[in-house]
Amino acid sequence: MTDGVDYSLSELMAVAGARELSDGQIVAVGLGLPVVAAFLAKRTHAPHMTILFELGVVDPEPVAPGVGLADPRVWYRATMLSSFVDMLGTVLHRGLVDVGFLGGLEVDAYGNVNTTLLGDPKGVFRHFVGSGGANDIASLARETIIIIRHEARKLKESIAHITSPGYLTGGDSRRKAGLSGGPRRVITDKAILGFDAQSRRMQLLSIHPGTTLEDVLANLGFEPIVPRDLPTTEPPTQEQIRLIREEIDPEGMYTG
Amino acid sequence: MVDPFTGERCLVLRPLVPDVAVVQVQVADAEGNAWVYGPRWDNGEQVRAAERAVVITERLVPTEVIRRHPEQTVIPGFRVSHVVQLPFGAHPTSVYRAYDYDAEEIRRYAEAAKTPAGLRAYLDEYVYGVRDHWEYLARIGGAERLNRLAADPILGY
Repeated sequence: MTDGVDYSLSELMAVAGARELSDGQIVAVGLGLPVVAAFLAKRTHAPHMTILFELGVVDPEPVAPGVGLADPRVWYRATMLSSFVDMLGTVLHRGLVDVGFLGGLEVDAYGNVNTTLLGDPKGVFRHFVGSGGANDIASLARETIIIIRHEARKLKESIAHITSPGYLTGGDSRRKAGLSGGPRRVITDKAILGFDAQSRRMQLLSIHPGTTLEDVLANLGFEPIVPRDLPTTEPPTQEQIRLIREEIDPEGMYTG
Repeated sequence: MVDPFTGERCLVLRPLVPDVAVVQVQVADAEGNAWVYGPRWDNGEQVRAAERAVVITERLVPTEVIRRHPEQTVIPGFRVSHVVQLPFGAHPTSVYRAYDYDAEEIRRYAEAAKTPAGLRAYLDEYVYGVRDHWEYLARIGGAERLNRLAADPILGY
């Protein structure tokens, strides 16, 4: 932190998400940190990126943060308002979405995501919100970025239910199932992870400033691939933090 | 199944055919011809898929109004079995270009719904304890509160 920028871990995650996006891409975004990441990218290095919300919102320019995708605040100044079938059925199925963001209750070592249910040892299941458009995005986007809290109960060797496919059982199992693409990054509040090109198992790419490798591994429910050379995640710049706090999420709804 | 065009194996899903679809729109006529402002979500598909469809509309207009801008019609009247005129019908949630969500009321509901007893008390007060929709609207604060929720014509919320 040469310039001594003060930031929260949520802000660091949003900035890390923004860095994964390139100009000109079509990006499917869900609410929360992905919205902050996408708008940050759009206002900095990716002005010609197109942001899509699955319910049919194209390229909005909100002036206030919304509480959900159903909040018209996040549709403001869109260039098109269409429908789920248009976004998921034609844009996504046609293979036009470059990057999709995913969140979830649990993620396993191959990037499969559970948003459906959790079980306890007594066999009692608790049901959650389910997929929304996430399965379509996980299956059909050219690549996905998963944003999730770094806790051993969320990042596990195996998960209770696969709502949205990652690399399934690793190797070429995803391709054999008829799917291309797959998760590219997992961004947590402690580290950034990617996937090994052969085994498709999660591997550490960088750990956030102020975090130790021991802490990262102790809070993972599986053993990731750990490279010998493990850099520290690049911290946000002053301008990125200013944009988040003053323009994108001034109430700190997602990054506070 | 085998795709007859390419010979590739593919997964097929049986279509969902709901008995009834219930959709909320901004404008409809008595035949059920309906306009949806903003994103159409899957309202149009729900109605087309279902055996019967109930359209709840903020405003009921003469068919002549629909005929002036038929390109705005998302749901055709011939697929609709019932039309219900219900201003502020989505309260405490929002209807685009009509009214914003009522954050205070949603918070009250969320708080009440934390316990079965709280939820019961909430339902007794706002659902079972009111004669009709108008009494519900009066109970949540009436014209004064609803006027505060009215959408800004530029922002749409």
